[in-house]
Amino acid sequence: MKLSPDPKKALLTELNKCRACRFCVDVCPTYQVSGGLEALSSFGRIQIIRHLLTGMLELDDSLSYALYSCLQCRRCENTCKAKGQALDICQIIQQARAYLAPDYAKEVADGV
Amino acid sequence: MASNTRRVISQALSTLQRNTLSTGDPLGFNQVYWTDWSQGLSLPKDGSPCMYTGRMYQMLPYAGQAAKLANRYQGLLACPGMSQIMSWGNRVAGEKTIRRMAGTGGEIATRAQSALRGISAGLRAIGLEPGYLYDAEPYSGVLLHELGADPGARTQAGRLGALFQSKGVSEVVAVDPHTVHFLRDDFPEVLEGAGVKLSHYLELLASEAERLAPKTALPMKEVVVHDSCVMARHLGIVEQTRQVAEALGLRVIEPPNHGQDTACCGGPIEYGFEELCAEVSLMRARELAGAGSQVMVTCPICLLNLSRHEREAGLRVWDLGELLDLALGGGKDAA
Repeated sequence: MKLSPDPKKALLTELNKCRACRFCVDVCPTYQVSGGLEALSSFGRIQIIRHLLTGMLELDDSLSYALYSCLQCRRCENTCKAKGQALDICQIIQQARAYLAPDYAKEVADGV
Repeated sequence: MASNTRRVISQALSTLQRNTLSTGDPLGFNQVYWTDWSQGLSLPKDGSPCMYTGRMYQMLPYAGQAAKLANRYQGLLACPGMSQIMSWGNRVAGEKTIRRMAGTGGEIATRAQSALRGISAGLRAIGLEPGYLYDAEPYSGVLLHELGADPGARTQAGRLGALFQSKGVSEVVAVDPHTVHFLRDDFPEVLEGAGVKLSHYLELLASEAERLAPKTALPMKEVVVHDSCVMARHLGIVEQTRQVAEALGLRVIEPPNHGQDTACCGGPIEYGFEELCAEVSLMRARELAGAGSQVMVTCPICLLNLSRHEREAGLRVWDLGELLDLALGGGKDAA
């Protein structure tokens, strides 16, 4: 996934490659230890990002937890590659963080 | 789930960025703590390749305490205005508090220092003369990037490139996978622009593994190899780890989920998700313990997180650097 001057568009383009096969879910460590909580899986996180980008969801505490608790371990990407799609799942998550991070740092500065 | 995750992330990001950009240290420490390992090794400042530690191993005892502290006071962040009070508290007393909590650093500090000595010994054993920038060596900024704070990460990486350039460094050997991935894959223009070639130490040692003849027998005959996620999946360094272990006379045992399919130690989320991190690392520790009791890692974050479960899972975690230190005598002979 290439860095882009338009991160929102780049993220949505990459997200649209996902066929929702969900094979990546089972290998996600945070999904495994959370007793099968979909929001804490690779697939769950990219769905959250998609809906944040399209304005269907707003970033609140629980969605922040899902987004920032990703280990960036890329195990999901191995599975995705093996299934023929090869999404840069962890980079999608990392870049979604980057897209949101300036607001977060600003919150502290403003004393929210 | 935490009811104030937004504030926790905000606090972590702003503190990390402020500390890194104002002091060159993610913990905001001003007092030099990252050069102790090099005492007695006589590493020349102008040696080549320049050994870049990024302070990753040295900060382990403090990072663990800082994470504990941050997690302990997470609840307070729900109170309005508390973020600013905590930011102010961190600036005024953060270093003293974390240092007091860490004491002398305990066993993890000893292991971390041994790992770095071993890596320098390995480099010398294959005929290199590694250099070190001592107190001039800054943190790379890698965690800022991993959390998505790219402007700060880019600034810090740029400073690092400028530092290497000003010191006339053309070859760098880094000791941890996170730093290599950050500088090689995420911001490649920084070191390329400075005319600096970057390697991970295992890439160098594996190419001359036959020269790593142990001077001292190791206390084990076999090790279970835990591959770091970044090492295996980002950098593609898998075989090199095994070549170096075997050169030290060790038989490699492959646990479930190894190489490209390795399972994570949980470490990258310790800064704000202590419980989830501990569950992931315990799961992995138990998985490794099922294959054998002597576990070898090649990443400081894996070392810190898996070693926490040694008693519980019935294993001993060694960094490959520690084993090099034991086998090669810490490089002091070569000094």
